[in-house]
Amino acid sequence: MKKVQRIDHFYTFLRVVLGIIIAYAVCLVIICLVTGADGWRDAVYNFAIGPFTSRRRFAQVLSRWGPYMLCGCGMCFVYASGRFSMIAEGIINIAPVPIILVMFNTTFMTNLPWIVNITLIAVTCMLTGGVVSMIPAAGREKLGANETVTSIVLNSVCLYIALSLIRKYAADRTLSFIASKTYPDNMRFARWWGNTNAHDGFWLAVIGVIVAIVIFYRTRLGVEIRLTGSNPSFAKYAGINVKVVPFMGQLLGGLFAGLAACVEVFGAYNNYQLTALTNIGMDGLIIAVMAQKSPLYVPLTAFVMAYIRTAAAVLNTNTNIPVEMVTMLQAVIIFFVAAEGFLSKARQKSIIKASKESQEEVA
Amino acid sequence: MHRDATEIFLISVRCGLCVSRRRNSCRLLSQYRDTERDVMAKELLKMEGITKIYPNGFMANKDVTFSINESEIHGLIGENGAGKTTLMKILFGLESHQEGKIYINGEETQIASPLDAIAKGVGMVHQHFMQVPNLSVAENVILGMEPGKGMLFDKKKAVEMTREVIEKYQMEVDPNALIRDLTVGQKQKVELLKALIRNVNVLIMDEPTAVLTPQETRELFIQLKLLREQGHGIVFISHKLEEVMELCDRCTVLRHGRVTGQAAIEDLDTAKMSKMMVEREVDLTIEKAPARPEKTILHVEKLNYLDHFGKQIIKDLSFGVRAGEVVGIAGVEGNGQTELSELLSGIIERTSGSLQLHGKETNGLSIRKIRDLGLAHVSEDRMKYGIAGDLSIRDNLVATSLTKGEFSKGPFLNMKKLNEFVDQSIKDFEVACSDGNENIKFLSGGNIQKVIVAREFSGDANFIIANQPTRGIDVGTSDLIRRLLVKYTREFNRGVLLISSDLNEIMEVSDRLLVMKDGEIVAQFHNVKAVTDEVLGEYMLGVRRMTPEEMGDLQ
Amino acid sequence: MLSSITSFIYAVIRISTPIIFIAICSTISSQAGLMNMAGESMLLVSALSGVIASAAFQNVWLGILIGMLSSVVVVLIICFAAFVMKVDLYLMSISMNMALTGGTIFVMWVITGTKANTAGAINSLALGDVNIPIIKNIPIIGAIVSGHNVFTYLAFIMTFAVWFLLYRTKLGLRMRAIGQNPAAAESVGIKTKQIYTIAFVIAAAVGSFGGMYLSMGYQNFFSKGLTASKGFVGMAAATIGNSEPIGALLVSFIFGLAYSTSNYLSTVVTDPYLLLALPFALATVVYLVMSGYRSGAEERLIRKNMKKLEEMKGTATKP
Repeated sequence: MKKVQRIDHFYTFLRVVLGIIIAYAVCLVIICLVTGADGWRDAVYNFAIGPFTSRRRFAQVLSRWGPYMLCGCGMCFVYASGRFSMIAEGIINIAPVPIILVMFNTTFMTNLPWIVNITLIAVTCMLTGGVVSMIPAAGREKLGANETVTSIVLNSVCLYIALSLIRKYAADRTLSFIASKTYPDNMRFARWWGNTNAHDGFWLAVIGVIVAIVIFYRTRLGVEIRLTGSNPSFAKYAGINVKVVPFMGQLLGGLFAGLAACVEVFGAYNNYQLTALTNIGMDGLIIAVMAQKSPLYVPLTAFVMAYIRTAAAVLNTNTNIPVEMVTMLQAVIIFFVAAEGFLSKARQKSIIKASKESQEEVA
Repeated sequence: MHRDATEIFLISVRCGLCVSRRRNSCRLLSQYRDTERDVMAKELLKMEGITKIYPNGFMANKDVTFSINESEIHGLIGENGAGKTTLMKILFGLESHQEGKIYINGEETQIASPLDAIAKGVGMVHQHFMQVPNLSVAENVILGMEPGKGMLFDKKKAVEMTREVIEKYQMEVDPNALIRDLTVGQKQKVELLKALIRNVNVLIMDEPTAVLTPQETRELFIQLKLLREQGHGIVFISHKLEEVMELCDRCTVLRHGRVTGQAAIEDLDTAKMSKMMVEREVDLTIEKAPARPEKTILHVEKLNYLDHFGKQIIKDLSFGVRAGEVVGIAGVEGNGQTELSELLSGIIERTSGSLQLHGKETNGLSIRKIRDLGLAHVSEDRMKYGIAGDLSIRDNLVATSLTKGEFSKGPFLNMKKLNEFVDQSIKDFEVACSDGNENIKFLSGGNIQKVIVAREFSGDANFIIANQPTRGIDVGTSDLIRRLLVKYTREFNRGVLLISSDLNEIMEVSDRLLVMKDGEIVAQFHNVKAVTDEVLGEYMLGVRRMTPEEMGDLQ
Repeated sequence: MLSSITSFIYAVIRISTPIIFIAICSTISSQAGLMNMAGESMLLVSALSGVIASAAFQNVWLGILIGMLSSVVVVLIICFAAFVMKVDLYLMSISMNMALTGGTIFVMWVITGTKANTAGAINSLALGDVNIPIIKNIPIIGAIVSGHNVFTYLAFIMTFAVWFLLYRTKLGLRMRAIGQNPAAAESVGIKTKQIYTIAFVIAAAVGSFGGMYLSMGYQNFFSKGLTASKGFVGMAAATIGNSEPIGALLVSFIFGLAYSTSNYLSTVVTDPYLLLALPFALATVVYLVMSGYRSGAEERLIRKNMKKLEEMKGTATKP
């Protein structure tokens, strides 16, 4: 029995690793093709090793890792409850806005100590994220509207409303583009690694992941979410409210996405300057899929994603190849990681072999 | 005395049928009856020595020989699991067989798929209609063989073709009506049309009357007799003996995959058939102290349920289960047992009536609240209402007790207590696994059932519904489950409602036995040991029926 | 005043065009029982490849053909992933959208060296506006109906073509059958995966015109973010329109109305971003309201059965 399970785990793992490796190889080939005979060595070096060549660059990986972990955990809750809400994308943009308005339009936060402010910021971001995520969730559970469609259309609403509010109430008029004024020092995450992008938000993300793991595996709601996502009929039979639980899963997803927004916006940047959707929500979905819906593996897969994104950024600064190249990879990764058909024959063979062997042992 | 009542019942049924039949086909029928005796009928199809063993080793058919003649309705009867459906699936190309031959019009042939079967003139009317609700009757009938030039679909032609068949077989269906607006009986006609337009001459009807009202059944019979007039051979699968007696010319009885009887209908009576169908194989005995029933735990009063077709599945049902007794419900499957257990546990909502657990009305309560009143439920559909397939044994074991105080500390789970419970359950119920973290999908059926039973029985629930708790389970586990059910009533004073189509089980475990037929209780036995298979079979199959006085107090 | 109204209606039709294409192509897949989450992919890939091919061959028709084929190829990849490799269809569609959002920009950069748009860098071709003779001279109607882009007229023709496909061909009948009861279709020998794939391929071909309208009609270059989630707005329009081509067309106009209203309001309202949010907000609200209106089947059934039971009892007691 145990053996069969081990084989199953092994093939799942193999699918994820092969998916990433194949996607990565595709990427390298594209880089070589684009840069041609002269520059390919440099380009490949930049892409593969780039993120680890300097403290600054590795700090970039770290600063991406934080929001990715949080967003990935959030998507685990959404995905594990059997729903496909992509609202995390819009939440990244809109969640920090309310507290930014308070920040620049009142003196309420000016003299408060850092720890109070940062708590306030984190809590409002999460609450905003939670409230926004309730729209597609309620649409699905109460009205039967497909949450994917609602959430993706709603993402644009979030983006534009956030921009509108920042422009009206918190814009730095000296800049040529829409951005808020610079955050005061007591209202942001401090950098902790010299003049790099690594900031204290990372530690908040680590705490967030631990909380997510605890909720997922150690609370009633966590078990209920997993049961409902796995078999809704059984969950209903077991007395679980199959309308409320997926709603809570999506709400948790929103709360975590809100926290991801907080870490991203008040750590990596000196002011609010998101003028487009960030793709963090979509990346969060890929991270959750790679982690097989388990927050336990999210730190690992989030790191892979942060590394790939940083590699693309490093490549961009050195060779001008656009960062968008790596978004193409995501389809390749999903293609292999989520493909039950991929390697299924080999898996079936070894399982049959193993169960035959164990039967022979018994005999 | 029982026999008299039954006969009166049967006579009245037949009279009812005669009246409606006379109008349409009585004349044709009598003509047919005359000619049949003169001419030796042509054999349309023959299955010879069919043996079918499933990959898990279960022998579904053993050396079955079966044939169908021109202008004949051939009844294929047997209990659930007797091998009727498997045999017909082989004939319709849905299953392969290991031994035996199939002859069509005297020629040996292989049937590879349903399409192949239809091409060779064998059509099947499934119990679950294969129809598209938002398309018209004509569109459904010609789906897959659409008329029209090239890519175009000629709707007029489709209607015309359908109308032709409708007229040929005198069916009253509007070819332009949408399927979703039809009654169940009309839908069945559409299913017949689908087969007939493809020119099949052998029709397999898989329990066609299971979904029909009595009036619709009568209409169907007229229809089938008409088809017989026109030379078709019909295989009529059923376990309703009065219907077989009324309709069929010949009858084959299957039990445990083997033919136990085959004869012309004139040579049979319902009692004979019932005896061929129902028999206990081996004696199984469970030692138990006499039950001492106490206060009523479950009280059901005038319960009614209509399914989504609007068919009445449960009819004014009233009964009760007391603490300290096992109440068995015997009956052929599909007579409302599944719905009853789902109504009791709150999975489906009743149409009317009252259900009380410990004197508390369950109407409007959530499943959680009903379970909190002390209900445990082992469903017959293990994969749907039994486990979450891609989670661990632990998650599956605790699914129903998440809100219990002992396992939770606020919103958190008390992992220590919970793991103790999981380990204890695995040990007590001898689940073959390494630990609770193992994924449940890698367990065998018997071990999965042990996990389910462990979950449902370990709590403090004092009313247990066990619906087919041992079906498809190995002997050891089955024995364990049966003994536990008895033990709980004797030692912990729980009430158990056991629903089973396994006669051994139900007669051995039950302290009081109810028989369910067509959503009603038709018999009650207090002295279960004294009940013979034959008598029970007659009640299950509707040959006999107790009066309310005979049944006595059902509470 | 009158001329501003006619030009407003003209603008509504103009701006609705890409949504119509996606909406009617989504009706094909929804009738076959699957949601078209890949609308964005269809728009993006056809918009870019149409531009590139028309520039490379200097032939607009060849450009359109290649634009259409590229969309079909992308959808075939999605179908292969979903039906052969067993990836969740929606997951694959969404990640394909993501991939193409970046991928089209990357390809544009490779070819033109910029990430903003292809204007100026490559000389791509576009289809022009058509004045319909006679009609163009009718007052009011002429100003509204005539003078649109070829793609816009094509959108109306396509709506009818899709309706014809669904309701007047054998394939359409099979698609609708599978969409409602795949088992029934399979029982009469129809291969479901094959029909799903064909439905998606036709949808991809129809949807691709929406993308090419954006880059070869509405404007004559490909630019970053030109689809602006229209793939999903169109999908929502199809669902709201009950997956009927005509219904989808009408709902697309409602969304077009929202888009052009927000354009017109820009002279009055000074907040450009609120105006940008308007059509999406409207789409969300209408979608949620319509879904709510259609749900609640289960409760209706229980009530219906209760009534039926009472009737049955009523008739039983009478005689």
